[in-house]
Amino acid sequence: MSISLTEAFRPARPLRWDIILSLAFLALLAIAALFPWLIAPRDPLQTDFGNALMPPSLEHFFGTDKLGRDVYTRTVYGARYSLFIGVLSTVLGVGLGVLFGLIAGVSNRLTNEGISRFFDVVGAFPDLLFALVLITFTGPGTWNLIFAIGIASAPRYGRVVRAETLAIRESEFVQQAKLSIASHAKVVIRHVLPNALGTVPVLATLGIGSAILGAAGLSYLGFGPQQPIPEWGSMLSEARGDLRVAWWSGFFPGLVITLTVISVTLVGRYLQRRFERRSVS
Amino acid sequence: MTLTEVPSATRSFVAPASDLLIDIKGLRISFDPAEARGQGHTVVDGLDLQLRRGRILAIVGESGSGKSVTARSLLGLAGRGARIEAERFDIFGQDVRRFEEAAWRRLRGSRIGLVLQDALTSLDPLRTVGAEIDEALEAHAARRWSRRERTSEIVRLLDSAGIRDPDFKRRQYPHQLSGGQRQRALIASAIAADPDVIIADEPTTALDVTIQARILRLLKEKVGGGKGLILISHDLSVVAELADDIIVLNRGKIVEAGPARQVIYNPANDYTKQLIAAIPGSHSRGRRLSALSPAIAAEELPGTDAEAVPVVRAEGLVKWYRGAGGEDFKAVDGVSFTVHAREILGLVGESGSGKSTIAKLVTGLLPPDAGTISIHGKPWPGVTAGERRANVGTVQLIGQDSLGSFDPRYTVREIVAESVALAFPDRKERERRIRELLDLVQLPAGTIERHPRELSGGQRQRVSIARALGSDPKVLVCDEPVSALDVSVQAQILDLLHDIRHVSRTSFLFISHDIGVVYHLSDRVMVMNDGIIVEQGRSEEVFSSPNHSYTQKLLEAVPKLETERALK
Amino acid sequence: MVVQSDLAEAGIAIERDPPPMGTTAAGRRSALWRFRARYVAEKILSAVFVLWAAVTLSFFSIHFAPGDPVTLLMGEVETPELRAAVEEAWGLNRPFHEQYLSYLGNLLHGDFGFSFAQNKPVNDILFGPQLMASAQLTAFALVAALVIAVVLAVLTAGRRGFVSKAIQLGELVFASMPSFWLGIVLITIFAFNLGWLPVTSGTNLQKLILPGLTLALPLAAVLGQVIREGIERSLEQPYSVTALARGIGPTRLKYAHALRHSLLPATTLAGWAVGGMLTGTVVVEQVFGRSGIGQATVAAVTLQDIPVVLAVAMLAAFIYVGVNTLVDILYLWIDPRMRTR
Repeated sequence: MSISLTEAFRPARPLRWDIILSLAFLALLAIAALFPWLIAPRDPLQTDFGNALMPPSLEHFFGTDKLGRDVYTRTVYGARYSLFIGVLSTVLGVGLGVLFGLIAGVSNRLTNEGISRFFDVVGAFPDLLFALVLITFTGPGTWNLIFAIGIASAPRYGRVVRAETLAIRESEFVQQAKLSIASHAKVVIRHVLPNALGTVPVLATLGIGSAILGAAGLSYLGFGPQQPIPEWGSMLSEARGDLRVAWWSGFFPGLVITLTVISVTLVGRYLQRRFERRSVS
Repeated sequence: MTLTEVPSATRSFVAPASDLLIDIKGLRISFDPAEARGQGHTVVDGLDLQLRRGRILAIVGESGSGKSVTARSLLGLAGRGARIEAERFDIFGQDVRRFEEAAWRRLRGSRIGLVLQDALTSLDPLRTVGAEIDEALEAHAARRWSRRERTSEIVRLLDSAGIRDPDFKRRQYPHQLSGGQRQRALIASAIAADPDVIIADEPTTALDVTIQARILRLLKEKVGGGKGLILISHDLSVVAELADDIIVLNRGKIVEAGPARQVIYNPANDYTKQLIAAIPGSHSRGRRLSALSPAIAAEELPGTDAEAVPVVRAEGLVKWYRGAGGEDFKAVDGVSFTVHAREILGLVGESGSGKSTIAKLVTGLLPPDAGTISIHGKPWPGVTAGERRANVGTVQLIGQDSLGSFDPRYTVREIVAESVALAFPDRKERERRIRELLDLVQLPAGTIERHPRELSGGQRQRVSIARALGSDPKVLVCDEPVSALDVSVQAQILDLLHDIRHVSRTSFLFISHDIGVVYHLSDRVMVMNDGIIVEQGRSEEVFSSPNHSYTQKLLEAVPKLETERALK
Repeated sequence: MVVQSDLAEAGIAIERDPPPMGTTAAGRRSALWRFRARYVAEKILSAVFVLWAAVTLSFFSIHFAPGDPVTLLMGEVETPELRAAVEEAWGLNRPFHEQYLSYLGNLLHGDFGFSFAQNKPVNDILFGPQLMASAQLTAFALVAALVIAVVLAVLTAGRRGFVSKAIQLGELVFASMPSFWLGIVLITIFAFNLGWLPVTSGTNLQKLILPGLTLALPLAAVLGQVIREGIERSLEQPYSVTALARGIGPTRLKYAHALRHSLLPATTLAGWAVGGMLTGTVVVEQVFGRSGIGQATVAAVTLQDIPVVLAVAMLAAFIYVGVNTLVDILYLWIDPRMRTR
């Protein structure tokens, strides 16, 4: 059968250097999160009013903020908060979403509809606003942020997993399996679930990016880890008044956030392509 | 007056005085590795082709033969990174080897028209049929035509392509028309600017056999007006009735070329001979289609092929479907049949006849709305849950889409193991049996650890067959098992099924739209149309002297490669 | 004609139209309208249900959240007189279902209740000039994003060169950056250094540009990607080959064929895009010091002023669900394949 010719000759795979750079950057971030003192020997909380708002230099890579603290050091130490909140809230969101999505996918019509409606309702509130509502109840703070972002993102994952599961349930190989496996439950466990779960790692990786952005945003608004913790978002918020004279105090934390999200996104997309090539649908 | 009758000052091509429309010698098409995915390679090597006015040239080949690339290169649409070299490449007397895109554009549509397969994807689904035709008119219009003039031209074209009620149909979208009407509309859009050459790439592959016949007739009609037609197909029998000249391609090289009668009835090349021998039909009953010898070491069972003992009994099956618009219709309307032990019962019908539904009912994947199925006298799939559990594995299925029928995470071993586990709970025995089965279907030992996506279509179907046999089923339902395969691979698989029948006690329900395949393989046959069985009986009887008018129409429409050869 | 004579001969309809919805044209048309009506009704009912559930969820969250509802409603301020007033106004001393019904009733009238933390009706806090300002910003950003996305996608689709790769990289970067950072960068470059665009002074339109762009660019990046992928996928389809074989050029192919196909998946993003804009305004208004609903929200969250925050959330939910339902209904007209079934 004839294949579309233009389809058969897509360009060769992009060079892997973007993945390599992304992984390298993420590795660096991991070090910054776990062993920040290795790459940033100073104290992030050390103020030095005499040296406030100094531009980037060999001594202070990213300059100093209005309290004379070294921006580079604070950025490095801040990694753990953004990553921590980003990863944990994604784990929470993916966990909840996948759990309910799978249940919806394999259950009877009623349960399926019920869970799906539930997703619709919670998902009717835009992510961040829902998180804000939760924060209003709980107050600001690291764990509250994780909780809020996690719950707000769960419907998104849930819907995708549910759709995937339903599609797999109807697929041909599942029908085939029913001819050799007596119990419905076994077919679900052996074929439906593993394939449905296959999409999860990709979803999660891509989701960490938006979780980090969300966490930074909420921190910027003042609802994340409180001062003087050097969380990237709140660092930007602090720097707001000094921008005219000291652009560096806000620029670098934001840059690092951007680079983090880019890296995570690139890795996630790469995984997605690998996965697509491996699966059938 | 057609749109292309314009002063020659605005045309870059003067109608050639000679009737040699296309003259190609030594065509070589290769793809640049940097642009192509993976390796660069030569797709077509040393092709000679001549097309004259009023003649139909057929290019026949299996997948990978390069026939489609060749067709597209005639329009400059070979694809990105294609390198085209030739000793001679003249279209309408012009050397196209140095053509710029703009020159090709003047050629396309106005001098050469292209018809692809499956109008559902070959026509823009978001545009009306009339708009698609209009595009062709607009691209080559000599002057600004008023809306009314263009509309009437569109209507005329649709009408000339055999579409009823053309003024209404032109405002419809492709999915609103039937398969045959869509293809006609596609043809109308290809000939809209009155090209001298029509290239049809598998134009009837997606269509039912009766529609196919009409579309081919339509194409032949168009040639009568002094045009040339290049017909590309994998199906020699389709081509046999229509073509004046045939070129046979194998892996980019011409293996045979000449007048149609000579190529088909007196082929010189081995590959062509194989290709012709592989076509199943009335003449091939009882003999092998491919040159591969059977690998089956097990002994043939004694006795006649089909025994008189009924295994499957279906009575009064009815199945309703919810149609797309919300109305229900009966896909299966009171169907009853019997399958005997060791018999191959064929089920033949066009799309929408309900045959796939029968497959699902017999396998037990779908419960009937009315009627019963029993196997060896006991209700199938079973009344109580316990019975159902005990009955699993009695009926197995071999489907058409081989890749989709396997769990993408499983290797060949795991796939086959799943059904073998029913008959052999002990692991060591299971391993042994898996290897036995793979030998039976002639899969090399190395494939056992591979994933189906790494195998070819034919190999995947073998895995499918091995899996189906694993649970030692009483009934094997084959739903279009060879429809997606090349003719030569199809031949091998049909031979395999034939061999298996001889060494096992399994009964087969063989479902296909391809009458030749069913005729070749089955002992008895049922003909299905619109949810009911219009005729059934022994294959020779039904096919040589059909009673029902539908069967007669069906047989008439089948491309007649066989009858001529049978007469020889 | 080929078909008619053959059919007459055969006396059997072998070539038939897809499942007929009635043998007469009128029958077919009325079946079509029935299908459409049912589809629209389904969508609207579904929307109403979701909104009702969302509202109920809000109501329950006030009454069943940890801590006593009165404290929550009062926010940070707490005095015995205020407590009595809250209980009175919210009818917290009345039976539960009465409270619920009056809550619903008020909402249907557009009354979002009273904010005790700020001692004003919620409607005053939210639905004044702030609403207009935020709406302007959102609308500007949506239009800008769409225009930029379409232009970028069409220009870069199917091309391989350095410029298009650069644009794709740019899309990735813009989709990954936090909006508040983008805002800061834009302010620093355009307002402080180059002095081109104002932040706090200037006409309404001028004041819209920087915050509008801050909102629009990340969305444009995502939309651009989706649209471009849609165009490229469309260019690979058989109908594109057929179209080229008619003699049209690649530009026409993109605009007359591929673009329409690519906009289909993009419209499904409409609801998400609007939702994203709404949340984006919360941050952007903060960055640029604009007064608007976003800013009011942040203030309310800080004060733990539940009625206001809930009101904003519900407003957002209404808009989100409304847009999605509208798009779903419009799909009937946008995608001809939905028009007849």
